[in-house]
Amino acid sequence: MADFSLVLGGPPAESARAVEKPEVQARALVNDHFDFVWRLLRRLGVPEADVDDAAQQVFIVATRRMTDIALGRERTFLYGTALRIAATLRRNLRRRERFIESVSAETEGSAPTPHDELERRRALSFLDTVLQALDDNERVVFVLCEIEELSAPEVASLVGIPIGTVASRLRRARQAFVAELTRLKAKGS
Amino acid sequence: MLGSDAFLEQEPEELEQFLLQLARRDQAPAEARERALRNVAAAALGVGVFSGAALYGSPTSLAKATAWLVAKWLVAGFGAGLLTITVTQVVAQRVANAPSQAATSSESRSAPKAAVPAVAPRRVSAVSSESEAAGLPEVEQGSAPVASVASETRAAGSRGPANVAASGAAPSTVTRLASSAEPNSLTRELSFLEHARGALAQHAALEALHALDEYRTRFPNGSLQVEAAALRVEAVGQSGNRALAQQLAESFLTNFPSSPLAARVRAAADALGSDVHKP
Repeated sequence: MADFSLVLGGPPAESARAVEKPEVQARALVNDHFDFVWRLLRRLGVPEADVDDAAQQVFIVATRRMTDIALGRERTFLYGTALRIAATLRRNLRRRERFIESVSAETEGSAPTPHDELERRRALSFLDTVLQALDDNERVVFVLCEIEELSAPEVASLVGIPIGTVASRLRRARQAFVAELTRLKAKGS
Repeated sequence: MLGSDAFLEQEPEELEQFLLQLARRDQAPAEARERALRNVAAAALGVGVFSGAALYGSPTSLAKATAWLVAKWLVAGFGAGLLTITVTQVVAQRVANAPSQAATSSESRSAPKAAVPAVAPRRVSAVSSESEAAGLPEVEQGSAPVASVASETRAAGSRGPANVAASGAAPSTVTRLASSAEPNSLTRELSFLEHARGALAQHAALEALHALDEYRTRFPNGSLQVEAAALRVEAVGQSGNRALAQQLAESFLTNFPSSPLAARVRAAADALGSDVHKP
């Protein structure tokens, strides 16, 4: 039996051997960046019901193009892909009324959640409504700075804009955010 | 609707910080992450993969696509097909069960949603050359090792597919996913099945069997037990133990008659000259 376990290798030997394998790289990509991509898509206006599929798509694209992604630039690639997919989805969303209907139907039909979870989701949904009022370019910078808490140079490199532009977009985004938040809050209460 | 929310009673500055904190802690559901792990593994292997673009696909078109994939899988190799089917199952279950965002609950929800974001195959034709090359494993006669017979007799017993069936007549992928202990466990599970599949493709039946044994030992409540059981039928058949392979096939078809893998298992059993379970 001993030689059989040698044949099998077991997890440590297996993973050591598999370091180079593309599927292992792809899984590492998911493990390291899935939450980042998920939040990004969500906050960039992808409806809750679609975030899962959109995130899957981002990682499948990344996996197929793994050889094109330079080491250490994974996040940049994922960011760019997520941005494109979010933009496409938002465009489709505006075009398709029936889809908007289905989204609201989904919210109504979702399973009962404990109070805290319900509150959390309502709050996040409120946040997304506020974010919707922002200009797309400003919104991206706002999300990366304020939610992902990246530094200005990091955001500049990710988005591909000068640091000065990051600062000015962030400033305008903050103003718009606070204004919209205050407006909706007054409307809500 | 917004008026009833307590969080709105905070001052704007507090509310802003509260919302941003909440967003920073927002995490993807474990189910979505596991699905991504499966998807990228399949994509990396070049298997036809569902990319999530077709947001408007209907359950009907999805069912057709699934049926097509099953057919494709019957023609193509077993291993790549296994991954495809696993992905297919996830998708099919999503349509059938329409799990809510809180998919951690293991209770099945039967109310179908009209517009669940269905996922349709984009690169259906892209089943890899690997899978084409894998082909049907041929049965090797007279090479059944004694050790294998012993372990497979055990397999036919309580720890076999019947064990899975005992936990629910139709194990849904969603519930099976939800029962996984940690996000990475599925990756590890998959690596054992991939190993077994690779061994089968090279007609190394014994190695495949030991990978499956190892899988069973390490993941007694694994998410991929049905897939492992199907692979086991192939592996035992390939090892030359026809009687046991037929027995296992029969057990599989009894327990999972509606599994997408059932057709494959049935074909394997037929190839063995079996007369188990004709539909």
